[in-house]
Amino acid sequence: MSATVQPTDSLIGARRLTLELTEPVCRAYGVLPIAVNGRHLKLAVLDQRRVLPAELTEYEIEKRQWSLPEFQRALTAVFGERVGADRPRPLDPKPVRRGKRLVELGLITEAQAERALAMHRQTGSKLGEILVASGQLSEQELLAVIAEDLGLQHVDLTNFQPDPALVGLLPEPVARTLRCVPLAATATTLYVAVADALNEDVLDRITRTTTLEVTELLATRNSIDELLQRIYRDKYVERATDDLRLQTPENSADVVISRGQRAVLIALIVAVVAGFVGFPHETAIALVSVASAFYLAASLYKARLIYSSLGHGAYIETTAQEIAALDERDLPVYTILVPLYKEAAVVPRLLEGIGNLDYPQTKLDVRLLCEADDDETIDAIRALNPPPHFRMVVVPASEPRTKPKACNYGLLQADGEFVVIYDAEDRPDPDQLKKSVLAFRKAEPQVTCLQAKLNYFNTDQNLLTRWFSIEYSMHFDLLLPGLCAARAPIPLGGTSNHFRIDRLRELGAWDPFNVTEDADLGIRLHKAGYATAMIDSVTLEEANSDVHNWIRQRSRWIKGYLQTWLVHMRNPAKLLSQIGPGAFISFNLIVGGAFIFLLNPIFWALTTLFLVTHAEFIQAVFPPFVFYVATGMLFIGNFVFVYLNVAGSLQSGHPGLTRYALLSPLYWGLMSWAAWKGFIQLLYRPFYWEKTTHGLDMPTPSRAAWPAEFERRGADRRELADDDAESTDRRSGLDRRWSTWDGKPVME
Amino acid sequence: MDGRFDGVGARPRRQAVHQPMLQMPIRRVEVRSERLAESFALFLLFGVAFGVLGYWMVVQHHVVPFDGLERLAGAYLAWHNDPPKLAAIGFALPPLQTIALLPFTLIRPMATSLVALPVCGAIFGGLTMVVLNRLLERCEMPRTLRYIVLLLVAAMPTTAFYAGVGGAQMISLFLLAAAMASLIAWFLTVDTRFLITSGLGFAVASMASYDAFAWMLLAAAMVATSLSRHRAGEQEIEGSVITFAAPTGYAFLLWCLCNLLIVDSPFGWISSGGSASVNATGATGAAGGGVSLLHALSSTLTLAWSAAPLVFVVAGGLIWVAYAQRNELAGWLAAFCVLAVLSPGAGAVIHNSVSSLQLSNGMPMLLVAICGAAVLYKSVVRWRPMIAGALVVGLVLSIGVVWHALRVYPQQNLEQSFRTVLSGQQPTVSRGGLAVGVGQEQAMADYIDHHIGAEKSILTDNSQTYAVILLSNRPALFSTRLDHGDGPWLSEVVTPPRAIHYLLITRNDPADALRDSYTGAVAGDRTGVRLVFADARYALLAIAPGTTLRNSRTSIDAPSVPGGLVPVNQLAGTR
Repeated sequence: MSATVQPTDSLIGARRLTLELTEPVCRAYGVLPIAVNGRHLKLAVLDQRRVLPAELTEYEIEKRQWSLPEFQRALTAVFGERVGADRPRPLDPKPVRRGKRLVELGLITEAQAERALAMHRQTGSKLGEILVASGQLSEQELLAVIAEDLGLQHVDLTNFQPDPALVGLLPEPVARTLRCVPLAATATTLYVAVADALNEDVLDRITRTTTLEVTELLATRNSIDELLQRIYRDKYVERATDDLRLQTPENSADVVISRGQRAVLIALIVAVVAGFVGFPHETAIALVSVASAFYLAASLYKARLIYSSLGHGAYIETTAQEIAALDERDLPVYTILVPLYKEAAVVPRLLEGIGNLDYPQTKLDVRLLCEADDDETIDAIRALNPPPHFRMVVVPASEPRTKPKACNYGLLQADGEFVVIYDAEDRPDPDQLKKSVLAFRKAEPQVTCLQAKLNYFNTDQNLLTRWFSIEYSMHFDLLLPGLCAARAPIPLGGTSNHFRIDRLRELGAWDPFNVTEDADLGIRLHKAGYATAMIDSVTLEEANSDVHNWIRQRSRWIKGYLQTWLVHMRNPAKLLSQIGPGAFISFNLIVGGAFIFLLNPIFWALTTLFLVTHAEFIQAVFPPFVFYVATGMLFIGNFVFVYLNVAGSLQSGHPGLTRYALLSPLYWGLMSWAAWKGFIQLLYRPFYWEKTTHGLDMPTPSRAAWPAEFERRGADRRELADDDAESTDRRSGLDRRWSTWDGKPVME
Repeated sequence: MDGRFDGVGARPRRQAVHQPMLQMPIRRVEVRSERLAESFALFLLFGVAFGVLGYWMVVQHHVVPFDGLERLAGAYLAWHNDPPKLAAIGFALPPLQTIALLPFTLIRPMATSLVALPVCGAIFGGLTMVVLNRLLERCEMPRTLRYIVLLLVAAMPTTAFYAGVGGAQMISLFLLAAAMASLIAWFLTVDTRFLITSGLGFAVASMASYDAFAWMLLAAAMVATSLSRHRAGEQEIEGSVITFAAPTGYAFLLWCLCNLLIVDSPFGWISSGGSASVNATGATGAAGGGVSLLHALSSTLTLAWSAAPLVFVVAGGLIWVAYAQRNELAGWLAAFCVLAVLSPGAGAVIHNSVSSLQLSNGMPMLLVAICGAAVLYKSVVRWRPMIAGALVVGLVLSIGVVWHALRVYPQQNLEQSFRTVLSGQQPTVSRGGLAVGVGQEQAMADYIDHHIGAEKSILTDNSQTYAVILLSNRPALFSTRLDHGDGPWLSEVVTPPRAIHYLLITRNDPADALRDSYTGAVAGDRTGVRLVFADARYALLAIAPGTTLRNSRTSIDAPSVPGGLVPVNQLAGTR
């Protein structure tokens, strides 16, 4: 059924409604108001079944289905010509020319060129980058064409051995920032490898610094990065390891217990021992009372935070229409750091997950951080031959061998305005990066980090994964939002933390000595006056399904929390003055709350012993008030947390987990086991990283999950790389101005 | 519209669609502040009113139901017994009735002056009014009508009485009101938070009144059926019911465990007979004899008519709306009305006693009638003025009916004396033969306080003489069941240890185990035991020095103290 549309009717309707339905919203939802009468709204729709925009929830709606042409005409009549991101802009002639050239050379087809140009219009990225990222052109081919365009030579740096004397001519920060590396020199000329032609100012600077004329040689960006890594490996490792320690030693966990803490601890031990010798009964009561009070405070605080979050999500809201309205040309480069170690089995799934992100590939700077001795993972990545925006960074072997150190190493050459960490098995929401960009734009200026929610894709694998999912739901759906709303310091989750790179570097990035570097960074962030907010986007991970693997992982987390608490409580008075009393208490109850897992087995043992034996000595250490508090905590406190797990499961959309949540106390037993393991390890191996094995949810770690597209692209690239120069020249018709480098320039 | 069961088969969604998190934050904060201010004002108004009335009744006119006194004593002894014992809260009555008094008895004078009772009652009474106000507001009642309804509910003689004397009913009424209000809110909004609050409310309410278990079961059925009718998935139904019922299930298990550990009878509390009114005269305020099904039915209907006649009208209205509008919520509330009316009768049949048919057991009927009326008002928009008028008139008439019931209803606990006091007279006996006042207890307590100093020198059955122990404010003087448990205490009854110089017994209470063992002692028929002080209800006996008490099992030698009595200044019982 259609209606003759009078533009004025719709405009009047829209204005009366004061809906502020923008054109993108109308297009996204396929709706257009026709008329309004009080709360009754007549609405033209393209599809009766489609969800309606939020602005219309208060109206009683009468839908009229229109055909697409009618709808388009009406839309134009109401909103006029298309504006904003949808209005076509005149094409920059340069990419058009390049596209034609590539077609002439037979490197791409016309259809491919058209598609790439359309993508260029949409994202603003360079045509060549688009073609390379989509696997339609190799980097070398593009390099050759650009070199021809610019009248420069191009080089292959794969086996190049740098001359240290020459390298030193340009300071490392300059070389890294400008992506240029001195390769060779004559008496008058310095040959510099560059990823793109340098502008005049930069050329002048280099000339002034070196007193040599500069000749640029084009090389791929990745090969320059790799060369810089080869040259400055030791320096980069040093920076990755020592930057924070040198910048703010008081924030580094390289020292487990400070001298002051050691003195206090010894004094406490002496006092307790003396107390037990002189006044055993009173000392025992005092210890039990302190523990009970701590339990009570931590439990009440957590319960308050969690309950306040039920039904109130403290997220930075981003709507589907806002995401749809984003102009991809304005999107910044986004760095994704993925630390990998012995993850060969999950690499295909990882690449698929990142490949599914709704973000221009040409604006992704994905850094796969591999350890030098992890040949298996390195080979697996190489075999897949991923697109150039996936860059493999090989982290040299050095102590401490930790994930944060690898991330620091990868961050050194990161290109993005924002950076996010993902783990190997992560499956983020496809629109997470766009949500993050939007959220950062909307957030208060001091927001430096956005934490996405984490949960698991193998929730139903077994009881352990169900418990883990419940815990994560509670933590990310309720506890962290509660901390956000309370403006308390937030111990960040392990992945899916999005940062503003400049501020991350300012903070010294991650502490390589802390095994929960994320929690620590969240606290340092707060200390520096910055804030963390949450976004309503989920990253699915693999829940540990094996008990031993889980214990290892959890022991590391608890060890890390204890480390974090020790680091930031080196000077309690200073911390209090830095973050204020509310945040100070919150930090001690949340991060310091890890001690509760150590206390639990002691109290459970006392309770069980008392119930079985009614031993007088146990009764004696629980004077009435303490007894009542402890009893309350045992029966009511434990129930509250079990119930919050139950309620949290329902609230977060996992009703099937509620029955398993009733068994939470068993899970807590496991946590206490892991806590003691972590505590003991803190004493003799504080920086040891308990590696979590991934891929346990897959029946066989195999290529079964490899996407066909990656397989095909990998084969294509291998084919191109295997082409000999002759066949390439035949196809491209290029001048053969290749230069190979064995330490001396060769000009043709 | 979105996110609601509108009673006509609309598909529910768990939360309102596109519920904006940060939209119009200023308005949301303003509304919240307004509500808080209103709630606080209502709480203050009704709390103070109940408190003043209660003080006048309890402290000045000594209209104190003995079950309240027993709970107060239990809460007092939990803190101040020597040694303090949580077990003093007891295991026959729902524990929360006593636990609710714990904060007030921490301060001794609040307990011994009995002020704790009206204060506790006033607080829970005020809270109940706040909850009812919120429920009425959610059902779109305008402010004026809400306030009129609240005033009339507060003016109901039973409400005023129980709130004033700190009756256990007020605690359970508040909790039931909160649970029901949340349940209704969940039905209207499908917001999980309300489901959680309701589940927790019923769980806590079940520890204040065991009848709440039945309410919870009905509510769980409502949750499951409603979700199922609206085509929610199996997991959602299961998860919702578990979330709702888990707290009550836990409360049930925990209470059974406590009973098992302490009194060795996990399920004894179920058949313990609930709250029977009793005092030291031995009167139970309840008619004797067994209860047939028909008798129970007619009695419970009589109770409903006497305590909350409005429930019949409301139930009828709900049934009609449920049928005419296919209104699911109205149907369920009608079921709650039926449950509230029939529960006391069922209790009478189970316990084979009319004690379950106390006037106080009509309070839940009043509550559900108010809830039902609110839902009627919300559901039938066209007839709102009529419903409002009928509600007001119904409440006014109910006040008259209940006022009359205070005088004539057979199963009650000093409610008649409340009426007598309000009429300007000082009652001494209430309907059922229950004595009014604590004069006898106070006299005995004063005597003990002035004449006895040795700790643990008075053997007594605290389950009957709790009032004397409380009013003496010196629980350390007494050797009771609490100190080391029933077993050791009964051994002391058979063979009083050397430290025991006195026996405090009730004169007429057959449940007093000590009195049982020392029959004839008050009349002087027991050698070696001499009456020291007595009033109408209690007797204090001294064990003469050098006397061997021969009981059924063994004998003791009494301590050698000249004069029989322990001098007042000899406070330490050194032997």
